[in-house]
Amino acid sequence: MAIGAGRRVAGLTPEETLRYHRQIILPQVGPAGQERLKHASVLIVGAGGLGSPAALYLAAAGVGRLGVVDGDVVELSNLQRQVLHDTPSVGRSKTESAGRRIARINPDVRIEEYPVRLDSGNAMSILDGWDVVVDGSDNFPTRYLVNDACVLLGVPFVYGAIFRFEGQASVFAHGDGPCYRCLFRDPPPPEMVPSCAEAGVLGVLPGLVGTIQATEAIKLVLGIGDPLVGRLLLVDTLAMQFREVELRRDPGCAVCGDAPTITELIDYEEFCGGAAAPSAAPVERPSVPEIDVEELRARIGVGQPPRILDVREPHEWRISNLEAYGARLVPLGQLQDVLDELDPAEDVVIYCRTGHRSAIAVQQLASAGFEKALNLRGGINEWARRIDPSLPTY
Amino acid sequence: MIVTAGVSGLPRMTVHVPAPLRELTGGRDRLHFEARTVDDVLELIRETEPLLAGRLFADDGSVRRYINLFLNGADLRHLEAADRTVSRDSVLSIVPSVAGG
Ligand SMILES: [Zn+2]
Repeated sequence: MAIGAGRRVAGLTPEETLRYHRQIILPQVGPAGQERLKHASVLIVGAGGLGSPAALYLAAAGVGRLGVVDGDVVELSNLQRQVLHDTPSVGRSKTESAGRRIARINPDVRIEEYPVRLDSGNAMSILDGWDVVVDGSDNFPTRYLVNDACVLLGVPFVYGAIFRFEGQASVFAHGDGPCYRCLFRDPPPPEMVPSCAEAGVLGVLPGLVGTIQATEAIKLVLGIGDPLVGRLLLVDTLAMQFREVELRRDPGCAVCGDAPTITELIDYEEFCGGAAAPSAAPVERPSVPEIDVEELRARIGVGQPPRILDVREPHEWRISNLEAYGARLVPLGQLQDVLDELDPAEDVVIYCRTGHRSAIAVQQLASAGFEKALNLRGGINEWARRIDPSLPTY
Repeated sequence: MIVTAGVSGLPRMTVHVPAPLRELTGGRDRLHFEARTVDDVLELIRETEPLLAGRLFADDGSVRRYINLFLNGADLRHLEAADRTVSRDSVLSIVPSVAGG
């Protein structure tokens, strides 16, 4: 029993001393550390799966100023993992929902809400002046943007990313340590990027990775322990293994290297090969032949229509499908098993939700000798948007 | 029983395939190869796992820059020849960039 209620510790009020008692009695924190937290500021990019637990724990730990950047509204399908938000918040802005929740957990925290999508125009002003940034974004353009802005501003950031049952975490742009670009110089081609909406994610996984990010942010503020600088932590929840690999700063890195070529923010949608300028994408695209939804509709009407394969999962087929045009459901994992039933000389059009899995399927068919397989660009969601609005998108 | 070497007499090492690439290995999360060096392992991947190899390597044979390979935690790009030998315990980790949050 170290500190009694009512005894004022340094610059902490009696109530604060009580609230944070369990961490003040840690020798590595102490009253001085708690005061550091009180005067610290952490900006969380993305109030989603990773940002949720990070915000909850940073608020509870007494970080004095918390910023939250997110341009989205809370959706019902977020609640399975985005524990910052609750059912009554569905339809509200995520930053507003986050602000209300944080205020209930710890009214002493000053909250700054940025209900916008981070972009090259606003990033420098939003990210400037924070002690630590926590990156919980959910797309590559924002990840490269956060990295470059943090390197240029000299603000360390705690990286976390998740996919299905697996996650990654590290600390970038800290001292002489590496940055995100040192690890991943190029973004993957957009066709190779399944999102959580496409691929699914175990709800607990961002809970694990986001709390690791909060831990690292607190360690950085307090200056204690060994931060994940120069190390990438790999979390595999199915095997339940935590492994780490060693990272080094790349002297040739475009933003933190010895002769940087990126000295101000660039167009990150274009850099990542997004819709803004796909032809300008500086990354190799898989040479998967495609067909767009208008072309497919035209070909269904005349002559010998192509065979249509749906490589999604059965529950997705129940949401929407092209059965009316003869589509057959063959989940991607079973494609190899049905090759015998298909004719390599026949025209085949393959679709999935948005075109990622079907691109893999077309690759697989091509390597099995099917030269006339085509990927439906944009998937069934694009079909629903442009051809048949009676179909739901998801 | 601990298998230290296969029929080749070479150590049998392990490749960890991350979730985003398992569609290319028929769902397998671990691959095993009998090899002397990590470069032999990469060659075996090219021979026996063409779909995976297509994702890992660019046309010039280099590892794509949105994927990293680590032998026992060390980046392959920085490994000296002497450290490229594999043993029974060796693990080659494939680390792709993922963006989910
Ligand atoms: Zn760098």
